[in-house]
Formats: sequence, structure tokens, C-alpha cells
Amino acid sequence: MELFLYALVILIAGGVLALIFSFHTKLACFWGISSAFVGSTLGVIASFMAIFSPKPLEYYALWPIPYAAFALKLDALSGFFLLVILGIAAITAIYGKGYLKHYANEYNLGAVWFFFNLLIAAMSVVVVSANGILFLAAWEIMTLSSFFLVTMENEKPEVRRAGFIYLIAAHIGTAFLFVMFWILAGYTEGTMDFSKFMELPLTQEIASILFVMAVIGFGTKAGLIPFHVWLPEAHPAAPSHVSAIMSGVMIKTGIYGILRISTFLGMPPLWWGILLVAIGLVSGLMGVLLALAQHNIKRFLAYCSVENIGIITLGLGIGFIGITCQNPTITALGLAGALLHVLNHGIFKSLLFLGTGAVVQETNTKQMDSLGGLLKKMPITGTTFLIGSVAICGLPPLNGFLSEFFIYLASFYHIFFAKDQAVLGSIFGVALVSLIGLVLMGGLALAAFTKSFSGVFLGEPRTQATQNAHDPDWSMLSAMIVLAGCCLLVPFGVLFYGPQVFASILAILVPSGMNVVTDIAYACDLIAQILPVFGVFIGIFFALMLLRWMMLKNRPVTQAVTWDCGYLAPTPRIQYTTSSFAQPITDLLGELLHYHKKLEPPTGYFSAKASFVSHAIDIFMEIGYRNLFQYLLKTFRKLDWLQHGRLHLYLLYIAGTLVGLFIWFIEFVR
Amino acid sequence: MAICCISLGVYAGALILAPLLLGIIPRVKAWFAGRQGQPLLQIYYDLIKLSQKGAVYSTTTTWVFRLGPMVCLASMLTAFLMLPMFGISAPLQFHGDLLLFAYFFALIRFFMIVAAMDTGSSFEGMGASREAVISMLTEPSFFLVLATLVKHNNSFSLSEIFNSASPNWSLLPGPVLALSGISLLIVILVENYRVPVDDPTTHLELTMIHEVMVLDNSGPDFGFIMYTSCLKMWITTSLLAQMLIPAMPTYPVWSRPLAIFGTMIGLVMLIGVIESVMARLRLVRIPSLLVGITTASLLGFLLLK
Repeated sequence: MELFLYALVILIAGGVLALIFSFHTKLACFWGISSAFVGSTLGVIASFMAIFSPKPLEYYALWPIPYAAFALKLDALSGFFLLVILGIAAITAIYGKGYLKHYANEYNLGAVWFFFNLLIAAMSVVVVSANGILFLAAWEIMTLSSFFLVTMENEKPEVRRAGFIYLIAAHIGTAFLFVMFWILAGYTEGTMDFSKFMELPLTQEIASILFVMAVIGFGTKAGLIPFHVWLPEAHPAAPSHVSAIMSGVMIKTGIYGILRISTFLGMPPLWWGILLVAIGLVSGLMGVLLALAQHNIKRFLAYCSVENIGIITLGLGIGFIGITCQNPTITALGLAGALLHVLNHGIFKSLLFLGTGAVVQETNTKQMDSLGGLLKKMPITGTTFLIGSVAICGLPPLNGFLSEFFIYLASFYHIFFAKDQAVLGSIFGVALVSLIGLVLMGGLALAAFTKSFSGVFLGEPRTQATQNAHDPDWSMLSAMIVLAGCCLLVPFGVLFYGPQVFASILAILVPSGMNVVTDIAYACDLIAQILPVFGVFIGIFFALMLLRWMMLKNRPVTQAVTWDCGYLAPTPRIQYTTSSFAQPITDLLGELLHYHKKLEPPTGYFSAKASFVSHAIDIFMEIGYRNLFQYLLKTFRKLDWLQHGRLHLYLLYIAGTLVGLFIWFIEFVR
Repeated sequence: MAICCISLGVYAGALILAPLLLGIIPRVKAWFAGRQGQPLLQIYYDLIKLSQKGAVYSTTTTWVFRLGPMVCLASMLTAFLMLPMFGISAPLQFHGDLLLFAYFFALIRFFMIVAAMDTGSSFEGMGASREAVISMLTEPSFFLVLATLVKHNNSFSLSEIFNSASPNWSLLPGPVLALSGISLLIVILVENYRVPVDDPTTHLELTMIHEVMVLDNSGPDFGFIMYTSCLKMWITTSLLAQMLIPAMPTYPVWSRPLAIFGTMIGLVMLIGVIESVMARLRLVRIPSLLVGITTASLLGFLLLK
């Protein structure tokens, strides 16, 4: 536990030092990067200790605020999320060194590193805190520090707009969490310690209200549809290493929150699991569809995060249904699949954001249709991006397959289970729908990532933007290479440590009467049987490579232009763009997407001008929230007369409120 | 030991026989049209010829284009090793192997698409885009047929599903078998790029899907792709054949492999007949067909008790 506290101190102290030295950019960056890296690495060691220690590590100090205490508890669940957060944070800090160099003259990097370190520290306190007030405080610091990072380039109006959308969305979510924690605190004797929240005498109705509040509040941070609207705004605005942190790990604190709160609420009724499955399916399918329709690569990745959070929530929902039905196999596979996907998505999504950051920095454009042919100019970035794309589609032989495999298998087991107990028709429906949903998500994700990878990295350059592009410096490259390596190595980690780690995490999540150890062992044993198949595949691949080399060794291998069908002057502009690649799907599901097209066809015999613009609208944002907020604005306009700008009357309001509270206290409380 | 030798022999034999299936289809079509037609072993001649040639690469392409055919053939061979053959259990099998089996097909798609996009040609881009949408719509049906088999046999392993002893004449109850079987037949047509979804013999790149994606491949690379197609035909037809011909303990051991092989030949002849009697569907009609078979396989799944 001390190690974790040291890590926190190093992170915060380094951040403050970076802020103090902000007049000297080099020194500020040195403090920021080194403390972020050292602090995160120490924290990673602490999290390993927590995961493998039989008893949770604890720290308790008094905090002179009502209900509050500086209570930290590092159990296996916290340790797992801490590992994901700090592991990715350490790698992105190294990337940040090279990435921020380009901004050294324009922005105060000391402040950027201060907020970066603060964000890492706040995220780790969120998953470790064992007191409601501390949790909310850390949650708020996490939101605010990421807000300041998102608005780094705040001279641009679209960045300011994105920042405000993020700030408002995050606080609407936090409001639900406040209310939820205060309802919980109403059952204890003046404390918000998590240890007192265990086994509260909650009725089913109260527990359900709390659960729904947790799903809304934490779901907003996690980016579940319909609370996802801040993601596609904030990620394109933020610097790329911050997007990587936010999308790779910060949104996972929402998942952690849902899991942690569920341990307070007792046995979940069936509909909680069904609710999670439904939200997960909608997020997954709508997320990937909206991703497919995007032209901006960072918006694309943001929507793709919505999809993956949907897959994680789907796994959680299946696991919850397993708990309700007392079926250890479904529980183990569903929850282990969701947790493993948290780790996997953290790795490949931050890898993809880092690669995108390098591309955007080299070409100054985020429009996929302006890029192309970058694999030749940025070979290492392109290769790691390809590895990330294969992994995120859940394809063998990389890590993404394993987590999706668990969730698939969990829904298959549901089918068995429902078959045994004919009464539970709803479970059967859930299993069937989640199976079809997962398959569709897989197919759409494949289309989405082949689209973006080939649009950016393959073919011929479509504009001049890629002219001077080259691979970034070693610090950015090494971060991407390490993450790509993780995609290959995670399966082995699961093989060796999975049974123990998942068993200790699930022991926290499932009711005490349920034994999931054998089922976790079964799941990890399956990985031991999958890995040899991966090995066979890789072996055959290398054999074929050798065969091809031998066949071509003494034969003529020549270069020519792409087969152009007799067309004499092919230009890069006749290539398929990402929009045209996605067009069959966006046409097919256009109603769902509100995909707008504006075509000005060429007219006359010697026409010169024609244009085509397509644009996908997020109906939740453009129709749902816009109308809601406009309605609220209209309603609250009626209170305008209260806000007249006369200071002495404002002071009178304060006095009036105080008097009112005083009377209330005297009359009703005492 | 003897079992090992037999299974080695069967799998090696299947690798050699696989191109034969693709040779039968043109023969059937030639017979229908009253033409002479190409020899039965034409695919073998093509493969041998391609393996002896050099290669021409487009200046636009990168290593992704060269990687594509190798990844595709490697995935197909791995999927091949996960498939039970003529009643013999697969060399690679475990609980849930059917998911990995299906995902190797997805891996092939991924690399076919990116390799096609690597050429920068709008023809190949067009094929890749169509491939993405068609495969997206086909996958639910394929998975539902697998789920139906899983539900009926209480097993996640292809080898266990197809080799479990069945007292009846079929692996599934009649109506379910009809719905799943027809769905799987259409899936076979889609996966192998046959009429009514794709036409390998069309004369215009604009109307092709698979053939247009591999326009720029030549030499051994094209040989790899061709052999991948042969294996795909073998694997998919053998899947349906094993579903139609269950293991029945009351019949002699040799009867099932023979019946399965006969069914596979029958299936490719059926494909030849389908190609002779009907034209390719218009592209806008294809989603209706694919959603239709998804519905059929869903109905089959729900009908199964």
C-alpha cells in the first residue's frame, strides 16, 4: 500500500513541479514525463501486489469533513483496473514526450503535464478509494483535469465547444452519482465508507433505483448510448495521447463504478442483467454503425469506443444474469470476458489513438478521405495500426479474440441453460439476441476497420497532405511498438495468471454462496487449447512464406502500374474513398443513421462544377439532446427576471436563503 | 497409431482432392449448355502453371498486398485442420472450436479486403466494399446454423457435433434441417462467390466481387488464392454434407465417408445446376436474400426444442 501512496505522491509532486517550472519548457517536460512514468510504474507494481495478495491492501486516515475519510482499499478488482490505468498511462506518457514537442512554442506545456499527472492520479484514486466523498472528489478532479487537457488548443472555437459539451455531460452524470451516494449514506451512521455499505438493509425497489442511477451516472463516463454524446466531440479536440488515455482507460472507470456499486446492492434481479445487455447491444450496434459513417478519423475511433464499451457492458449483463440464475459457468465467462475486454480495449484503443496522433501530426488533417498511401511513408506507425485494427475486430491470433470468445461462449451457455429450464423464456431471448448482436458487431467492425486502415495507409495519397509525412521520433514509436507487442502477449498472460486473477476478482463480485473457481479454470483452460491453434496458424503462415520465397527466387518479379482496365491516365482521385467504401452499408441502414447526402450533379454538356457531400448525424445528439436542452432553455427563460445583474439584490438572495435554512433547521431538524 | 495414420491419410487426401470440386462445376455448366467445356482437372493445371510463374506487382502496393494471400491460405488451412472429415475427429479440437473456425473465415475477409484496397484501383475497392457488406449480412446466418447445431447436440466442438451417434436419419429434426440446410447452402454460395450473389465468369469487372478483388494478383500469390478458394469449397460443402449424413451406428463404418463424399460431389453439381439455370441477382436484391436466410436460420433455431 505504501508503494501506491508513494506513486501518488510522485505523480502529484511531479505535476506541481512541472507547473512551477512552466517558464522553462524543457525542465517542465522533464519533471512531468519522468514523474508520470516513474509514478505509474511504481503504481503498476503496487497493483500486481494487490492482485496477487490474498488480503486486500488498506489505508485509512481521518479527514475532517462530515461523512469523509481518506480510506483506500486495493483489492483484486481495484488492482486490475489500476493495472490497466497505470500501465497505459506510463506508455502514453512516453509518447507524450515526442508528441507535445510540436506544441512547445504555442502552449504552456508545464500546465499540460500538470493536468496529465493529475488525471492519472485522480483515476487511480477513483478505483482505489473506499469512501464515497473521496470517490466523488477524485471523480471530479478526474473530470476537470481531463477537461483542461481536452481544451488544450482552446483558441479554436470547435475545441471550446467540445470542451463544454464534455463538461456538461460529465456533470449531468456526476449529479446522479451524488444523489446515489447520498441515498446510500442515509442508511449508515454518518459515514460514506464503502465497508459500511456492504449488506445494507435495502429494499428491492431502492436497490433498483440506485442501480439505475449508477448505470446513468457511470454510463455517462463510460460512453454508453444514449449518454455517449461527449465522446465524439471531446476525442477529436483533445491531444492524441490524452484521447488515448481517455478512451483507453478513463471511460473504464465507469465500468469499474458499475461493478463496485453492484457489490453494495445485493442479489441482482433478472432485469438488471437484461437492462445491461440491452444497453450494451444498442451501444455496440449504433456505435459501430456511426463509426462506419464518420469521415474524421478521431470521431471514428470515439464511436468505436462506444461500440467496445457496449461489448463490455453486454458481457457484464450476461454475467449478472448468470448470478441471478445461480449459474457459475455463465457468470464466470460473462464477467471474465468483460474484464478481459477492459484490458484488451485499453491496449488496442490507445494504440490506435497513438497511431492516429502520429498521422494527424504529420499530415495536419483528420479527414480520412484526404489521406492514403501512408504505409510507405510511415511503415512502423502503419504496421502497429494494422495490428491494432486486427485485434479490435476480435480476429485471431491476437488478444481481442479471447475476450469476445468468452462473451460468445457465455451466450451459448445461456442457450443451454434456457433449454434446461423451459420457464425462463426471457433468458433464451437475451442469449439469442446477444449472439446475433455480437455477430453483427463483428461484421460491422471488420468493415469499419478495413475502411479506415485502407483509407489512411493504403493506396495512393489522395491529396498533398501526406507529402512530407514520415515516422515520428523514437519515443512515440516505442510506445506504439510496446502496445502492439501487448496485443500479442496478453493471451499468454491470461494463460498463466488468468485463473488466479479472475478467481480473486470474481470472488468480490459474486455472492458468497457461489463458487466460480472451477469455471474460471475451465475458461482459462480453453485458452490453453486456443493458443496451440494460433501456433499452428503462425507456423503454417511462415511455411507458406518460405514456400513463396522459394517459388519466386529464380523467377522474374517485376513492377508495373495497377491494372487500369485500359484507362490511360489513372489518378489517385479515382480511388475508392472511405465514404464510398462504406456507402453500401450506410445506404442499407441510412434511416437508422440519418445519413445526409447532398449531391450537385454536373449539368450541361461542358459542365465543370459538381459536388457531393455526405454527413452522418448522431440522432441522440442532434435530435434528442438538442430538443431537450432547447426546451429547458425556453422553460428557464421564464426565470430571467431573477437574474437582473444588481449585486445588492443578489446579496439579499443569499441572506434570504440563510434565513430560510436557519428556520428550517430550528423548526424541523432540531 | 493406426487412427493417426488414417486421419493423416484422409486429411492429406482431402488437400489433394480439394481442387477437384471446383473442376466439377464448369463440367456441369458445359453439359447444360451443350458445350465441350474445360477438362475436369483444369484447376490442377492452373495451380501448377501459376506455381511456376514469376510475379508482377503494382508500384502502388505495399507488403500488405503480398501478405494477403499467405494469411488467407494459412487461415484456411488452420480452419481445415479444425474440421472433422468423413467421420474422423479433427486434429485441432476443443470446446468452442466452432467460434475460432468461423473467425478464421473473418480473418480471410479482413486480409482479402485490405490487400484489394492496397492496389488503389477503384475496381478492387468496389469489390472490397461489396465483400464487406455481403459478408456482414451472411455471418448471422452462419452463426445461427452453428448455434442450432450447438443447441441440438449440447456441444461446442465441431468434431463432437458431427461425430455424435444419431439414431435418426438426420442430425437435426426434419423442418429444422430443411431451414438450416437451405440457409447453409446459400451461405456456401455466398462464401464461394457463386451465382446468385457473385458470378466468377462475368466479363465485366464492375459486376464481380471476388474476382475483381484479386485482379492484380499473379503467379504464386494468385495460386495461393485459387487454392484457398478450392479449400473453402471443400470445407463448406463438407460441413453441409456432414450435417445431412449423421453417424448411424447401425450401418457399416465405411458407408458414412462414402455417403459424405457423394453428397459433397452432389452439392457442387447442384451449384453447377444453379449457375446454369439462373442469373446473378441485382446487387440491391442481395441484402433481401441474405436477410431472408438469416430469418430462415433463426426460425430453424427457434423450432428446435
